[in-house]
Amino acid sequence: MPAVYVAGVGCTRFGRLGAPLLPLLAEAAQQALRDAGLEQVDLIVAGAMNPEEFTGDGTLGPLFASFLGRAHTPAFRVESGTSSGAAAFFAASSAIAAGFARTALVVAGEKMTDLPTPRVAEILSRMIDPTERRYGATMPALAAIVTRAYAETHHLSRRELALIPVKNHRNGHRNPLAHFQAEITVDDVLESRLIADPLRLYEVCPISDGAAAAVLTAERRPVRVAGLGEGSDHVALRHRRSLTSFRATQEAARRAYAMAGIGPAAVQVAEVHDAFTPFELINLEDLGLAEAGKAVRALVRGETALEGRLPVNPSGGLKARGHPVGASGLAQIVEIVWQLRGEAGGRQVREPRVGLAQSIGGLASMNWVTILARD
Amino acid sequence: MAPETLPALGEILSYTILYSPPAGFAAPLPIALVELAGGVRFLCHGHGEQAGRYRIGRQVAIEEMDGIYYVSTLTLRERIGLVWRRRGEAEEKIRSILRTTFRRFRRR
Repeated sequence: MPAVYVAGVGCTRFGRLGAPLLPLLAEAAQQALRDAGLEQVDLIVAGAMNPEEFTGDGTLGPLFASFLGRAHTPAFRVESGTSSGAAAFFAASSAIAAGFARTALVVAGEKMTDLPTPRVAEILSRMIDPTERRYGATMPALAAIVTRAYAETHHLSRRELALIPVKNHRNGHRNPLAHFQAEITVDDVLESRLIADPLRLYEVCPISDGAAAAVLTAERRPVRVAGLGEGSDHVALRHRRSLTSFRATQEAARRAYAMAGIGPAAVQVAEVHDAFTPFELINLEDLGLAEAGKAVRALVRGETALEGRLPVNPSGGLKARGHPVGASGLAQIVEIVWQLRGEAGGRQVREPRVGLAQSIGGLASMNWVTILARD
Repeated sequence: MAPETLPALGEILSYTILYSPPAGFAAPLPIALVELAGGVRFLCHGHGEQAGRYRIGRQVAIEEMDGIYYVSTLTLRERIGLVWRRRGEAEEKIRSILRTTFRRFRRR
């Protein structure tokens, strides 16, 4: 692909925040612009899942551009559910790769905690096939159906699955931006209340506010966008071929690896979509970072821990960093940039040169894989 | 397109019991993904008191009530008992139970 570089990144604290959506987006954007040393950009792409319902804000692109004092910069919004941040990054990268823009600001966020939890769940369930929704299926319900099928097929125990949130909270403990800063134990996970059997509260991401931003440029910078891939699948779970893997991730990964000219073996750090923590294992297998059914082995052996062979979710992941739905896909990319630049502080992994971010939209009906490299 | 008649027997591919169901549904809400012979898959509701019997791969009967599909793990004996108790109720319900019972029986 034509060269696209990440010139600067920014991210707000994630959690239950007082600030409304626009100031959150602006905080992340200004941090990224400062980091890039740029005042103006050719294009602004805003990612958010559903600001209309979460906050009442519409036409987020120009609304945000005006708020930022750049009303004359072309700006639009990109939406692909819970992977909107990654989709916005894809759109801005595409514009630069095509030569339509020399610089672009990508910003993504969501403000979710103004609404009561049942209302948030209702808004999130708009990503579900209408027929399945008619049966009361929620995101956790469908994720639980997948988790049970995956765990039973590969003979995983409850304790093994509980190691995932324990690991990700341990990383979040070292991330000052994370929603959850406290460590948890396997017993905490297994004693937390059932949300959708077998998923328990500590295996499900929180409802969070937050925003992330990145400035892209066609000019040479240390971190390069090496590969981008999108993959899709039926929205309805009942139409999927497999219940133990996600075609949308496999396809996105295939495209991203091909564009980057590398294979999974080159990846040294990964941020994957653990909104429901058992998905972390499925994702690693779909990305080719573990063989089918073997991801649990890497987890149990500590290979995916911060100090392991392939650190996964050093930020704490969606589970511990938090999941402001539109922001997460871009926040993952921001974390990879910090890791590649050696700026990840207490959660820095050992000098990675290639990092990967994987974002799931809906129940894996529109997924993205982004590969970044430090040349 | 001509409507097709599908067998009222299927296999549980996976399931959950939802403890935080959306508005309009009572907890706990069993939801199963079921595959019929021939490969058609769909979500079904379960009966709460039968949820303990669900297993992946378990054969279940499918019943339709008011446009919603339900899985049933009732045994033949329980089914006949149910028909007996329901006698005198809506004729259509009995017919549908007899129909699933008969199909279940025939497959053995």
